[in-house]
Amino acid sequence: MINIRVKKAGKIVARFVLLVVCTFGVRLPAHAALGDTEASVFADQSQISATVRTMRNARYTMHELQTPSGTAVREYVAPTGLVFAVAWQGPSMPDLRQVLGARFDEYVAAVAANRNKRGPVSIQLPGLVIQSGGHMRDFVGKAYVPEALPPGVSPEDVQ
Amino acid sequence: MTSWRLRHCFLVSLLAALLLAGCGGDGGDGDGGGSSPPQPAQNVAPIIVDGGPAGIPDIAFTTLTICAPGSTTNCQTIDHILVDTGSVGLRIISSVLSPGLSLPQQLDANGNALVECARFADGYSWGPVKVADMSIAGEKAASLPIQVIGDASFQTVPASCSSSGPPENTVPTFGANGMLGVGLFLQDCGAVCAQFAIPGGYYSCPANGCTPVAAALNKQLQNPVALFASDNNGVVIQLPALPAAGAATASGSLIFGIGTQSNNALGGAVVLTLDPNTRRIVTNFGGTSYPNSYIDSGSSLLFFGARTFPICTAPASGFYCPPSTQALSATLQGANKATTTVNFTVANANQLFNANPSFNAFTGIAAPNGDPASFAWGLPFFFGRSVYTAIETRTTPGGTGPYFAF
Repeated sequence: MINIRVKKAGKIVARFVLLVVCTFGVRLPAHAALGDTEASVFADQSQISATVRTMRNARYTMHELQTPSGTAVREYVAPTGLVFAVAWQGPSMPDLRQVLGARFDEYVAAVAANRNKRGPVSIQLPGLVIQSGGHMRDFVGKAYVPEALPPGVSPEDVQ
Repeated sequence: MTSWRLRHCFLVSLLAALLLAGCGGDGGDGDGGGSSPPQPAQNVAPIIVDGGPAGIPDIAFTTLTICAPGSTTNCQTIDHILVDTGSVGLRIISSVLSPGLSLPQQLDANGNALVECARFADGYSWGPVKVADMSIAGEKAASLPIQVIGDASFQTVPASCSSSGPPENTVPTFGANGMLGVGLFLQDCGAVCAQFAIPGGYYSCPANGCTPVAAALNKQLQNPVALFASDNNGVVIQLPALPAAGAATASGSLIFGIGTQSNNALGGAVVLTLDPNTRRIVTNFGGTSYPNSYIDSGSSLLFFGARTFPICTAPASGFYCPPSTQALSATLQGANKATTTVNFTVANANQLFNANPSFNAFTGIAAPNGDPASFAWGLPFFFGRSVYTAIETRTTPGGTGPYFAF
């Protein structure tokens, strides 16, 4: 884990969400980015010919996209309409460059800077947590913006 | 790697180079003809835990020989190959291959070059599938599809491959000269990749670029053990018990076959079968169930929890650093409902590293798991045990694989 203390998290998150939304124009066919709107989830559905199961509760809406090859990607949308978390499970991974948007390079650098072990990674960046686990044939992971979790939602709810 | 670890890796590497003919970028012996070290008993390959070319603690390495298909002279012996029960297939970093070792390219159904994106939780490795004969400890896998990682002929990595994390295409970033995947399955990807063109899986690479492609089972990377003429139903990894402080190096055995010879009997080992859907086992630890658990020699630590203990600062950044060594106990359960108890320790990794900076083998090092439902029993678990990994569909005295046993 890259244990960087979260400082000025609120401002950074706001800037981050803005940044991600601004990079919307270079999206490739993949998955919704953190900070995207709920509409992007349905764009994903057509792009990866996935089936979608939607679960709503008072705190958030979760859309689960199931790819034909068996990977489930769950996109969590806050009542504000923005995607605050993405989780995955299955033989493949989602396009993290897409999910993390402008923060992808930071994630890559953080993992690469800590080559003191091999295995699952758990990265904390200012305003962003990325957890990538599992192994070939069976990947499990999630990325979320801690400060964007709706009231009453914990990181454990994202899975 | 911090500089002090690199420095000590260098010293250890010098020692290892004297003992083992090489720890570093140049892993090859060149022509394998007369220069191979004498092989131990049939079906036993030596394992060394010595930090390897990148100075990473708790990685198990072995040595093997690859030859051009059908050749007994166009061969190369390569050391510091990571022994991984968590994946399937042989992968070699291209920079350690002798230029003269010309391996044929694997082709897809349309006659185009087949190239693979091998994904790990912490990065990806990109390179073509080629065909080689592999020999180790008197066993041979002929015409084995292998991955040559970082091959100069396929330098452009598709965005759909590089989108999973950092590249692991060189010896320093991979932490080894290659990887011997001797895990639970017959192929590295299996039926899913035979049916679907998966971004981040296999790619078809005609001259104008690479696109995901479905790869027939026999075109995919194969479990080399499954191709052996005998001792082909799984592997046993034996590593010695270690002092609490760890050791500079640890030497053990990679034994091929389960119950096929006198040296690989199951004995009293408890067989833990996998959930047929999730292919996982269950760990119960501290009142919490971890249903996504697995045993994996290629994970260099015990990975569990999120903040079970304080997280270390450098040099062991990201490891657990409890104030004192914790003696802990967990129960592992298979889909067959068999259970067995595992006693383990979690030490303060910085105290261990600082006390003996030249050490590379430890039993008590752990870190958080990216998947909070998973307890990954990496190499620290293997010390002081015989750990069996049985291959799917293969019969053993403990039943049909896949399963773990110890």
